[in-house]
Amino acid sequence: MNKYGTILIVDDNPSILTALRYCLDTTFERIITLDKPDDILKTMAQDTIDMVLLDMNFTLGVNSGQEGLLWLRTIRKHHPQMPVVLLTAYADVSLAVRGLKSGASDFIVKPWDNDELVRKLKDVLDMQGEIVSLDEMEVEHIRRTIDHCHGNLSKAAELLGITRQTLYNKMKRL
Amino acid sequence: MWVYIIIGVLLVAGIAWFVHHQRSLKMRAHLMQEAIHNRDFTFRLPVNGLLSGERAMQETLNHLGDTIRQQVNQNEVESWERLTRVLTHEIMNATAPITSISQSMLNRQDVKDTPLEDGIQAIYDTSRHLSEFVASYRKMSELERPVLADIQLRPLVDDVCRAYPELSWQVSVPSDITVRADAGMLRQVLMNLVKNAIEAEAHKIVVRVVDEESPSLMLYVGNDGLPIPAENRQSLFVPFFTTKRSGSGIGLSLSRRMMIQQGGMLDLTEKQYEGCCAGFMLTLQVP
Repeated sequence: MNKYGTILIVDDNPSILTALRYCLDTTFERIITLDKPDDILKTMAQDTIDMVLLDMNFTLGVNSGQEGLLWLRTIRKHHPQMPVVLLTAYADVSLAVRGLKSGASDFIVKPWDNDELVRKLKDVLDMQGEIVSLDEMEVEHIRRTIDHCHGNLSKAAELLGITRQTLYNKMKRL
Repeated sequence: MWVYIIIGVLLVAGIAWFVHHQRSLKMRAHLMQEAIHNRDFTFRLPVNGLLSGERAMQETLNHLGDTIRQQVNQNEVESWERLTRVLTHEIMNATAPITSISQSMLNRQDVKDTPLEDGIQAIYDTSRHLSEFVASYRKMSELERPVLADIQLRPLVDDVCRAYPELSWQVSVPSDITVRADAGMLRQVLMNLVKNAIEAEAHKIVVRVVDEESPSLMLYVGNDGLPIPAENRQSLFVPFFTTKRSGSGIGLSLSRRMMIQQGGMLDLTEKQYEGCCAGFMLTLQVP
């Protein structure tokens, strides 16, 4: 069975850590758990980590998720390529969306279904390993720039640093 | 001489009336004190037989009682809301490891086909059921903000009538009445009351505007179903309280919340109209 490397799980609830260790031990080669987010960077410096599963709430009674977002940004700043999956409380979709915007790869809602959790984590890691061809990158980038300019091609061409005609030619290949 | 006698008699009669009047005022004060003592703020004492100043005072007190009651109810709903938010969060966090661990164990070879399996399956099913229940409660209680507009009450009530043709309807709502409410929410509250009535074996629904000295519009919705037992009246609007086997106990608490969000109120009434056995009073804002 193909194992998926090392996962770092950060949650202040020891039962959740036990549950996740239990659920993921056949999928991952190594599982490191932390009950305090303060040690995240230290652990990441010491070990080779393939992915992080991060809870959003650490302070008791505070359910805003701000802390989780803060740690997510910190991880992304020091390890921009590290896939981070968020563990969010139920019914906190807006928080999850903010997490995705801040660079999280995916999010998992508590209580989760084990099979779905494993599938999501595997998907994130599989995607990570995929090498995208330059052409595909270019097409994707052009598409995003045009979306960003709400379809205004002159502006998109200006942002991309090419002439309008070149952009037209490239678009014909899309 | 006669003049003195007449003045004397009038004086005595005056004093007697004065003493009597003071006594009846004391009686009123006593009644209101008793009501407050029993945490019932709905004393609507009559204002006849009072001097104009006292009448104004009594009207103010009656109105104050109404306001206090509404405030108490609103505070209750709001603290329930806060409590629910915290509770659902904690319950979800607590069930997460239970569900996950039991699910993992069910997949283990040394658990399958052993006596352990049934027990763990029960743990798994129960925790799943609990989180589904909480999830559905959260979904229903997360209301959108109401969009208040001036709406015609009569067509809205007629709409609800048409949805339940199997019931006999007695609607006395003048067609020119406009209220300030969220049409969707108000319809949902009415439908919910009707559904409850049907479950209480009602065949007749009475909807009528009640004349009361109030700046709001009072809409009575009653039915001829089973009366609400006295011991349940206090807990009727408490979330999760239910007397039905399949009920979740959120219908009425949710309806009251929707009414409060629209600046109104939903209450159980003591007084019934047109042969009803149970009834609710909706307080609605008027433009």
